[in-house]
Amino acid sequence: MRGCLGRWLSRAWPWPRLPLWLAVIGPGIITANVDNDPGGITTYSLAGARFGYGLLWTLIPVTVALILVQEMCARMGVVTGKGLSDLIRERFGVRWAFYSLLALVIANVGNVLAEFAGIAAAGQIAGVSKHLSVPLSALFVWWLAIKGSYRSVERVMLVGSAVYLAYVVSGLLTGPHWGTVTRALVVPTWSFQADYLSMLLAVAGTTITPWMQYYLQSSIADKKLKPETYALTRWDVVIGCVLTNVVAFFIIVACAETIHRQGLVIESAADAAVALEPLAGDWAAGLFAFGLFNAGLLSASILPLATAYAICEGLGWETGLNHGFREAPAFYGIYTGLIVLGAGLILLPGAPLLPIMYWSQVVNGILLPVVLILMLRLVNNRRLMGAHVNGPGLNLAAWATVVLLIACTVLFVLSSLWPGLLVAGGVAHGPLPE
Amino acid sequence: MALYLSDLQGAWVLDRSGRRVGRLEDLVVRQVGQTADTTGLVVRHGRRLGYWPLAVVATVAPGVIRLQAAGPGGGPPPDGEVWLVRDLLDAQIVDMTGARVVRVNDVVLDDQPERLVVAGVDVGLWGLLRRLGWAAPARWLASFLGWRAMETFIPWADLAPIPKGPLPGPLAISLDRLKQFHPYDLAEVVEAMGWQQRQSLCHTLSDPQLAKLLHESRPAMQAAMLDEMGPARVARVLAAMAADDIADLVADLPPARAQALLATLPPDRAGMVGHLLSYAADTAGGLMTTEMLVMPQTATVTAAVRRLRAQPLAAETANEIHLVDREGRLTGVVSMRHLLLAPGHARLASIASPVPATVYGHTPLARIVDLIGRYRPQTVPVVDGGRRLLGVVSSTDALTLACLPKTDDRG
Repeated sequence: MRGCLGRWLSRAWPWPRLPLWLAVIGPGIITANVDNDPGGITTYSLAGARFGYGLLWTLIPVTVALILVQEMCARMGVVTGKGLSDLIRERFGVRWAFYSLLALVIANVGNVLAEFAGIAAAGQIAGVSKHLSVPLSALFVWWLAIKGSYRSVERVMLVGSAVYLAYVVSGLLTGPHWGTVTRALVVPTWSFQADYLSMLLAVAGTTITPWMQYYLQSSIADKKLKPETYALTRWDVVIGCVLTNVVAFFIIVACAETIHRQGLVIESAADAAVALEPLAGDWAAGLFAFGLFNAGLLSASILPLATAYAICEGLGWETGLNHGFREAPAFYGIYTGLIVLGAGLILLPGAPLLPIMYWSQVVNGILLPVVLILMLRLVNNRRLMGAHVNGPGLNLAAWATVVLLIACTVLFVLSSLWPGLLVAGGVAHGPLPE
Repeated sequence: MALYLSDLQGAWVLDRSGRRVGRLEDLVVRQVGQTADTTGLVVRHGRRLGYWPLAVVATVAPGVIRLQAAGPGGGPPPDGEVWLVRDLLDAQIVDMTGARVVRVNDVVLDDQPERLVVAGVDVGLWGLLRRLGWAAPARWLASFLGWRAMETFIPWADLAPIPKGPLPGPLAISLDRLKQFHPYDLAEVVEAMGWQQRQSLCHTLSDPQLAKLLHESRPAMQAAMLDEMGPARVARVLAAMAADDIADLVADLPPARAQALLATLPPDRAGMVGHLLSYAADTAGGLMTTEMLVMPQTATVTAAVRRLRAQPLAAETANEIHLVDREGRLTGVVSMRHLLLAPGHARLASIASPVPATVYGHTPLARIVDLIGRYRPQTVPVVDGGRRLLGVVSSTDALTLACLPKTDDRG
């Protein structure tokens, strides 16, 4: 397995051709950064705060799974030049396309809600009311896309993602015992404690999500990358996946060394900021709020757009921001609707936020296996992929990953539906204000 | 009688004695002239696919198909022919009359005696609802609310299918018809194609056609197309492009690629493009072209016409001749109409009109648009401090840039 993966990765090391590599850089790393959304930050924080290093080992299998899944998407995008929803529609017909996209919309309402919840939580740390921060952010995000300059702002927010480095520095400053950390990373531990299992599933669920596959493949198809430069695209994807989980690693380490060591319990978003105190001292809360706000804004500006693109491509409706509302009403309708719904639900007094987020997680969980199986069937279709189908080794690894992920999501969904099954205390999947 | 493919898909196929042969998997069609005729049925029986030619089919109705033949069987299905479900349903097509790319929601068949003709495709909401099985409740709701059911039907003769796979399938797109599209529309269609189809299309286009397509494409698409062309073709296509269009193209490329492209140009053109690139995109310098008609003001009409015929200039700026004095300073402009009406011995200066407005290289777009609104010139000359002519901005270019929405989605 390792040898196989090594050979697979080593076909082209990008550095001798640096300029070309820089031209191809993008979709993989951007997708990975959007993956570190407020929901992700919260989940990793909770994992470190509650279980210390107990869940650290999961990062390696999760990274491998993420790389395997994302790589297949990237390859399909490069070879076919089409998005995932296009391919599902053309190969499996309108029913599969329509109902999987419907599930994507429902799941993403919850995801967008979680992004705005992150923005609201960040605002509250900084003393800004959610009634101010959420509508302003929603308006900003909406206006960005309509004005069409979201790509340049996307870059600004990617730079803003450098705030995650704070976790790296903070984790290093806490002076963890590296022997212990390495052992925790490499040697799996297991517990049948309900909280533990539930947290494990949440880590896997927040890292590998359905929308990422649609988004990654569409952006790669959109960039018109070609099979000849695929080795570079693959590096983009691999580095992105590793980067996401390096950040996750340091969030867990920082939280384990501070919150977990001091025996604190995270009850609100502000409590999670304690993990940044070794670096920032009194400024920890501000830094955390900025990180959460940036992550929320980046994800909230990409998710609704990615959803609208996926749906309109799959159903053959006019897409694109260059068309204007009259020509592409469905596109703008879905885009605007997602933002309004996501931001509006946060502001609605007495809105059942927890059930909404649970249910969207459930739909996410149901959708993921469907998307993965459709993907595997597509990527192995010779009519479509020609010589670029999976090799037998890769197929074995991919199917094993899919089976494991399906087992995880089935458990995750069941535990969401019947919290008593696994969860004793209940695990929040995103930061909730108040 | 009109039939929908969605009503036939999965229908029971019965033999002469009413026994079930299997379910309808697909229809095989063959293009004859402007129409596509069904040649046979592909029937699924368990895991096996059987083929029945249309000659043995007795009746075709929604949900049930009767054969004249007896018993199970059927020959092997012809793999290389066009299968409606496999190759056309859910695929993208080019709507030739609207010049847009849409998706096939349903296929409409015309049941004629002894024939089953593909009439066209349904690309609208109703086709989608029918496929999803929601047509009946949706129709009820629509009539309840008093909405009119709108059918969006594209006749077979007006569509060009884009193959689903990257490999050219049996439904190869008819490239000849696409070539009649305006480059802007063609760029939109190419956007929806796989790279192999794009390559074969680019292969059949002439150099000037490809140059125009390149000019209308998104930066990512331009980079991909340049890669696919190969150096010799790139040189020929660039030769067919105006200097300002090359500058636009180069400006969007990554620096290393831009340098490589500039190196393939002849030195004088490379210098021209390099000079244009030194201005910001939304200034007169960035907008202008240096390919224009410039003649001495003392030349005669006959001499001017002779020169025009000897070196025809295929640029949008070629409707005017700019006159300069001995020092290269701009003195006036002669329109083609004035040139045509003037006697052969007349000096160009005597039939010239004064230039209403000139701009400098760094003049912003807003100012140029303002001048165009005021004087309605075809072109606005760009001069240096000594009033020497550097280039001209075509009014169309300036207005187009000013009207475009500022997206990086396409630009």
